Amino acid sequence: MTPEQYAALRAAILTGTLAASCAPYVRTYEQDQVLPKLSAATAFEKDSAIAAILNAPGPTEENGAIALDAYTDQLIRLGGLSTIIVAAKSGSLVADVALKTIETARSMGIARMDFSLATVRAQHEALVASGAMTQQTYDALLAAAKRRLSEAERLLGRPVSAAEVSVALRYGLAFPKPEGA
Amino acid sequence: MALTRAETDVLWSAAVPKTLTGSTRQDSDAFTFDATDVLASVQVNADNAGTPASGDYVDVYWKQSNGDVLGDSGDDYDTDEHALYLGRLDTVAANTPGEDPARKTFALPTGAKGGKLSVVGPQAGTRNIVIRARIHAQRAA
Repeated sequence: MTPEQYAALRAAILTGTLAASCAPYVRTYEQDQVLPKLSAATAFEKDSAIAAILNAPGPTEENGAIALDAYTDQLIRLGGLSTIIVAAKSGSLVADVALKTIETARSMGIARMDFSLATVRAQHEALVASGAMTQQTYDALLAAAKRRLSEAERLLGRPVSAAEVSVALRYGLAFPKPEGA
Repeated sequence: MALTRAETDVLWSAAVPKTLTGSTRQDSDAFTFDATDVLASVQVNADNAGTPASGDYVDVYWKQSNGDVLGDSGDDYDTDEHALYLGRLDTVAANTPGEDPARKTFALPTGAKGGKLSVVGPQAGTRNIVIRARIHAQRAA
């Protein structure tokens, strides 16, 4: 993680939407200057509790990412891939670009199709608009990618660990204490 | 011939303990083996002065000396990057091993005149780490 990501994690814990839930478990560097130190085990328990809060699924379903294997599997099962191929063979540029995108993603080792990205949704909407994909197929793909994103996923794209929480709150090695802190 | 024990605190400017307050490497005072020392070990204790955060560890080295290798004046010790790396004491429970305080014993090579214990804690600028160490030697006296 970069220092900027640690700063964002620290802000999410201290002032974000889950700050009230995290508060009972927070031990910052600043608190450490005026309170007796916590044992390593207690610190780990508290940091783990915060990580669990940040990693818990959020309250609402949002567009998320779907593994590329699952995406292509779904596309084949729904008959959507053959529709795109037929459209591409018939001269549809958006269909051709969609096929190339899938091929390129596979060859580059990109593991997921992320529907939280506006560009990805726009590409699929263009397929629907051009007739290279049915609305039913698009809706099914979107539904498969719907997720209740955790705060950590929203922030970092992945779950956060207790060790990372400790660094963010108490300025660990990868997140140096700012001047004057 | 009997074996006897000799225990010695590792001193830092003639004092115990040493508090690491920055990320600069700190060397102990010189320790000299007795000519009859046949086995030796050093036990090092690292106590984090604050609530640990990931990265709060201390790397422990042994800078051996075979005397005045340069032929100038005093004894010469292994240089920082070529010192014998003994190990790491991690005070963060999220890691394994990771405890606060962390305490570990390392074997020391006795086929030398002596040495200096050398410690460096990259994160000690934010949280002090208090180091205590004691050398135990078995003497064939």
